[in-house]
Amino acid sequence: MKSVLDPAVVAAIDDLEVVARYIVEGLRTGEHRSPFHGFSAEFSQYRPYRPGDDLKYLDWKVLARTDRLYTRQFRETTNLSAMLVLDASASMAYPADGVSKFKYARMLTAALAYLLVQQGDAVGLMTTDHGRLLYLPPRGGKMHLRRVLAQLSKLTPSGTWSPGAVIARAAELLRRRGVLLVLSDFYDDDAATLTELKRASRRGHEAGILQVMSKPEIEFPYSGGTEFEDLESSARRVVDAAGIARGYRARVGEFLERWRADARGSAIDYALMTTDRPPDEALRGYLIRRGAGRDVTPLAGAHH
Amino acid sequence: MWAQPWAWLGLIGLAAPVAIHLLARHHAVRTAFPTLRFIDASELNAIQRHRLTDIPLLLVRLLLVALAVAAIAGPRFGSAPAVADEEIAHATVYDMTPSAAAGRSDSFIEGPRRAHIGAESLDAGLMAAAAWASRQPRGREIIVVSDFQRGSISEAAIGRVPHDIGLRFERVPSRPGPLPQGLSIDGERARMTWPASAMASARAIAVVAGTDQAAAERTLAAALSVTPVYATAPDLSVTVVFPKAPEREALAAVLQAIDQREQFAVVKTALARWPSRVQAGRRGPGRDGFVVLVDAEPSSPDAVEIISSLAAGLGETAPASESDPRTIPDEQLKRWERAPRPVDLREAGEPQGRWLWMGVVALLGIETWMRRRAA
Repeated sequence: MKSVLDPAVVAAIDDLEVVARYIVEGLRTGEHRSPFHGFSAEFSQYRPYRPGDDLKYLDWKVLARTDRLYTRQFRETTNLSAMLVLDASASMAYPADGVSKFKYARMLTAALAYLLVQQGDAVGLMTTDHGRLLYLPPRGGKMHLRRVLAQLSKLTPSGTWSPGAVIARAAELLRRRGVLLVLSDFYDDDAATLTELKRASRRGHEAGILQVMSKPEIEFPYSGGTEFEDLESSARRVVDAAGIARGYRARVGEFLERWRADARGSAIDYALMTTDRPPDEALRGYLIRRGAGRDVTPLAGAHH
Repeated sequence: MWAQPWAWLGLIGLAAPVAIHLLARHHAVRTAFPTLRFIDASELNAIQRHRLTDIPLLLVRLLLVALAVAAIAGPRFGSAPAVADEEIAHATVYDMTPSAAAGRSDSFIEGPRRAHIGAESLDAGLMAAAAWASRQPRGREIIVVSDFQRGSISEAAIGRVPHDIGLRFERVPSRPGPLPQGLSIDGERARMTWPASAMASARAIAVVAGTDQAAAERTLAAALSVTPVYATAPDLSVTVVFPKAPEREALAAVLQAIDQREQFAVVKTALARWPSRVQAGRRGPGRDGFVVLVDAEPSSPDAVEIISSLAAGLGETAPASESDPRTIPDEQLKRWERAPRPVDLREAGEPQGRWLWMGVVALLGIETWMRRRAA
């Protein structure tokens, strides 16, 4: 289903809760099920008792009534605990006009938080603000959701960040197996970022990355003499933009492909999000792929 | 044709816009960008070294410089107005040294647009001619007549002649030796005869001057230095008469009575050139020689030229010895020669340059507009 949510229009709405609701409502019109399954314990079926089964799952009432031994089987679905890690470094402020990568990533973060809380899961937030680490532990409930959204609203992209350290900290703070989603352009410290994501994955977390990019930085539509100023380091370079465009596009393509390949090779969920795409449509595509298990093993499953 | 050809050296200035466009960085538009990691520095340097920026603006600037240089050079579109030879002021310098001339004396004969200068030093004669020519309005030329023995004329003297004065060199053969006698003057009738001993078997060119014997002698010397006569027919004598006003009509009547068919061929050149001023005929039945009546002042440039023309018809002239090792080579003389400039363009202020300056101003406007638009 085609989205009607223009990223620019959605980004212009100040109230993140409204934005998140819009996006999630957009998702629901697609009539698909969320792939974020929790761990709540839910009765599934009976089966004949077999030696070795835990006696606590033996259904005594049935035994008394029918004189037969049956073991109760449960679909063990406990509550999901998710940590959303948002890159608020200065490079995310690009492009200056229109929907910046930061605004887009923030919308996605808000929508994901909204979605998770709505289905009874716990969601936490880890980000930086002017180099200072900000952390909200994973919790459920609307009050907590509002705290998350309020925190997101206050953020402005600035300075640099150390994604490796932030991801490591987020993984530590997820007390049990959970979902660790990182939204960033992944320009900073590639090696440390990937290392920490792998480590989180090994610890049992479901790691995923949403690489947020803008169209101009992929397609490089510049021409003529241009002085590019690095948003984080303020370093400058003057180039004939048309002259370097081909090499630039090739290098960015290699960069994105390397992230995709590294993520896939490490069983890390990966999705490229470009800011020109309606957020609900982008999120829907990501969730569908996630549900289909193309890039990631579905998080929830029956435990017999 | 250009008034200031050296101004074309200004085309070296074309290198300036090219250098500016090769090195220009100031037109870069600043753009905030997430990272510079994909903007290759080595590629950047290569581009800065080899790529010209903003070609249309560069072309306008090159055209601007070229047009300004052309305007400074002072063009004259089309061909320069031709100046007839008679409009050119001629100063003729005769080498009066023994090797080249019949007599030895400095002289200066001046007329309208012409001057004949006899000089024992060609450098001094050249300077006198240059001084005279400089006073003439336009179209000036100095003709130097000499056998051009080495050292007779110096490069420094040539350099001192103003550049707008043309220079021409006419070589005459060196005389075999000094003229022993020069000219003699027949006193009362001012009959000037040329002794046979001086000129092989020549009888004479005689000049009858009214009163001014000295002037007649100078005229004859000048004429014969232009056209040296080495040999004439032994029975030939020509009497040239410069009658004074009272005698002129009577002599003209006498000459008109002479049978024109008997006019001696040698005078025909002079007669053809000055039909109204020269009349000639045999002296009379049974008498040798001819009489030539010249309607000119004996000390005038016309008189010199008429006598020179007559002398050329009288006898054989020796060819110039171009290979004479004692003389200045013809190649050198050719290098010194130059055509007279009809007018000094710098002083005249030719109007064609104004159009180029207008073009320069227009291009300046275009260049400014393009620069601001790019900024």
